[in-house]
Amino acid sequence: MLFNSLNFLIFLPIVFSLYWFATKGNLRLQNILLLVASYYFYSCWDWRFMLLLIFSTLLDYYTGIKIYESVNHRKKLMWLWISIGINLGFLGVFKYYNFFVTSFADGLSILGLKANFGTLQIILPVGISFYTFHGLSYVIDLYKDRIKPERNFINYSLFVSFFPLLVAGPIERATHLLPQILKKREFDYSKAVNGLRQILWGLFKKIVIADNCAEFANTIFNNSDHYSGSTLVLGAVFFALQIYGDFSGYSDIALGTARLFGIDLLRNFAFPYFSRDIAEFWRRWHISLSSWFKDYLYIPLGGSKGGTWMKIRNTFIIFLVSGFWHGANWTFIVWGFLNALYIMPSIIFNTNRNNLDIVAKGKYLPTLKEFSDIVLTFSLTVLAWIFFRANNITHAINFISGIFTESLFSKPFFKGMDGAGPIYIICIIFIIIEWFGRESQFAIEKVRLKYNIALYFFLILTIFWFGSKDQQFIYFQF
Amino acid sequence: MKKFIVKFLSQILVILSLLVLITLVITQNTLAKFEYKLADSPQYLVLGHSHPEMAINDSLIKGLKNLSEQGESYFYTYQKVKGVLRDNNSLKTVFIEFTNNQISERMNEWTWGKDYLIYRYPTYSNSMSFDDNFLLFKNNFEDYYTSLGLSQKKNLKRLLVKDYSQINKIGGYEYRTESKIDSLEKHYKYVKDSTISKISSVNVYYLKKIIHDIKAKGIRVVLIRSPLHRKYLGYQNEKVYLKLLKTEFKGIEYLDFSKFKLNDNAFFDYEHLNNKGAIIFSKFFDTYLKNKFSKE
Repeated sequence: MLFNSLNFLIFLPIVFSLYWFATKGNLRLQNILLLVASYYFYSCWDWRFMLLLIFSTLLDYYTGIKIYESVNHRKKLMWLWISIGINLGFLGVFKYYNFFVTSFADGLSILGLKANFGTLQIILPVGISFYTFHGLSYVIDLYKDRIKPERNFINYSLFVSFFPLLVAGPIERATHLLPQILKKREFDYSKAVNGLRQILWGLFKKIVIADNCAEFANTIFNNSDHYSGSTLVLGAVFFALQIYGDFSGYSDIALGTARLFGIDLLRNFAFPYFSRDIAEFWRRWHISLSSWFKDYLYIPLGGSKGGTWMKIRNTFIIFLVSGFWHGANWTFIVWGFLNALYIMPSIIFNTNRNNLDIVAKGKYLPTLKEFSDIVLTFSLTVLAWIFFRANNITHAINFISGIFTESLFSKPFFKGMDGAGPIYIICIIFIIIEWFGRESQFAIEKVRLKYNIALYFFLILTIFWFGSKDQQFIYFQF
Repeated sequence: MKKFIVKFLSQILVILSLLVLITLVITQNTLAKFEYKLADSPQYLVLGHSHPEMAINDSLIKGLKNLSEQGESYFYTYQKVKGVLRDNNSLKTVFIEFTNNQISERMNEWTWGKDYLIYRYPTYSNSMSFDDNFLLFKNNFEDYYTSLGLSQKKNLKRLLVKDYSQINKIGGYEYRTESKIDSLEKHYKYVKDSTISKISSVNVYYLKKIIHDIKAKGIRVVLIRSPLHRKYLGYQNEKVYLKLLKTEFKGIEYLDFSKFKLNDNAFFDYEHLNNKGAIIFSKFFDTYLKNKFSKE
């Protein structure tokens, strides 16, 4: 069930009504209802995935208790590795098996050896990367004695499966989410209003910005050989907007939905494209994932202790693993590697914590230096996004080569460009709204009361108008 | 909680009312301004789906305009006819394709199936009545809602750039140069299809509405069946088809060219002609119209 679907539009009010009216404030009933709703939500994707989700839940629930109850450190470690091994094993098989097999075969063929390994027709279970990391954070926190195990299976299952974050995050921590699950939620008017506003903003980002930019990005990326350098740049920028609108839009809908039920989820995006350097970008982009890697991989590897070379090594490992987490393709690994390279100067010269506050805080406009820093950082991220979007390394390299030609200074043109006018305008309005709302949790959080309905109307109208794609009738029907 | 629900519902009501108002304003303006005027004031018009679309080359037939379009059910032909009849007083005869697959329940997919709805609704939305809209709404709400938004956006754009002509957007002769008969023959397998005999009451209903509206204007209506290959799988419902013709369309003129003699290389596939076949058939049809049809 997608957030931007009719099914979700029906599902959400029903769950909301039952939650606040039928449970009558009873904590147990609230949690049972949310759990049932979450399993229903997930099973709408494919009921078979439910089995894996329930298995993962049972595994971490059980190993969590065992970790806590083990007096012996070795036994604690054993149970921890059982959980990590099985969780990552499933993730490895479902997400990465075919990648490893084909990469291994390609590697052998480079050496002149022929290999014919069969790949599996595996459907990737929705959200597996997210709920796996969810569960892992729980068992690791238990091992580190940061939390006590949750012995109520319903409560623990809800922590893993809470539907707003189940398929696309944010990746929650037990220390943050479990206490909220264990406490009765009272209806909070301003929280609910904020939640609805965030859902609306998320829908706008996803449906209007992301889906429309995707159309143009796809046209340009899929035919990149035929386009000028300037058009390729435009395509890359469209993709940057697409991925931001898509991912942060989904996060906004998740956070807003959770707020309707009185639950606060971790913020996942904090206006990353206004970053002044790459280190700041990574503090603002997919925050729940980067902080997960920092806490559960970077720090255990030694973190920043042990000198500059250790820092460099650990940073590379984090970014390569992060790239790999995103998908089973060498392009994601190169994307991660590129970002690691970008961040190296700030690691080496210890300038990675220079820009902690939002840019131009309290001011309307950035300084010239801030603006140029933003543009430079954005350009670097867009360059890396080319690898993220490309079909393979060759495609990415050809795309980038195509940019740095004489045609970079020609007027951009691509098929369907005449329909892009309204989208350019909407994207500019979007960036302006994001800029002026950058000091809030989400851009329209603090819109003043008298403008609210006009803003809501504008957003709903654009969702209505731009939420559907022109259909090309390519099916030759008799 | 009560305050939240009341405020939410009242704001949604205001917003939806404004949306409806804007939709109505755009629809009314496009309804008034969109033109269906045909060039050269033709006296003959051909309507239907891909069969006549590929069979009748109107550049070879004087005084005839082919507005057939692939994948078009009678629901959309009906919307097209409303505008065409209004703007073209020169029309004396309308030929409407009536062939085996058009009585089949599969035509329902052509009416409210996702691909068809999203593609056609924006073009014809301004012609549609409440009942027409309701038919789509009740059979496929999700894609109807999507089409509504797309239609408003497209129509607003057309109003702003003053693009009022509908004629280039509602069908016309299309051709293919190749023949796939040889490759089809290699893999030919007769597959019994029981679903093709299930009648689409919606499609039949809209064909009747088309005929009624055309006749109300004093224009002659003729049902035609374009040339078909002998191995056309749609013949499986021939008995049902002929029975429907006799019962539901009794008294309506009917021309059956399905057995028109053509070599295999004149067919694109078992149910469509290629450009070679279209030239042959169109020249024949031109002669037929001049010598025989006009005298009947």
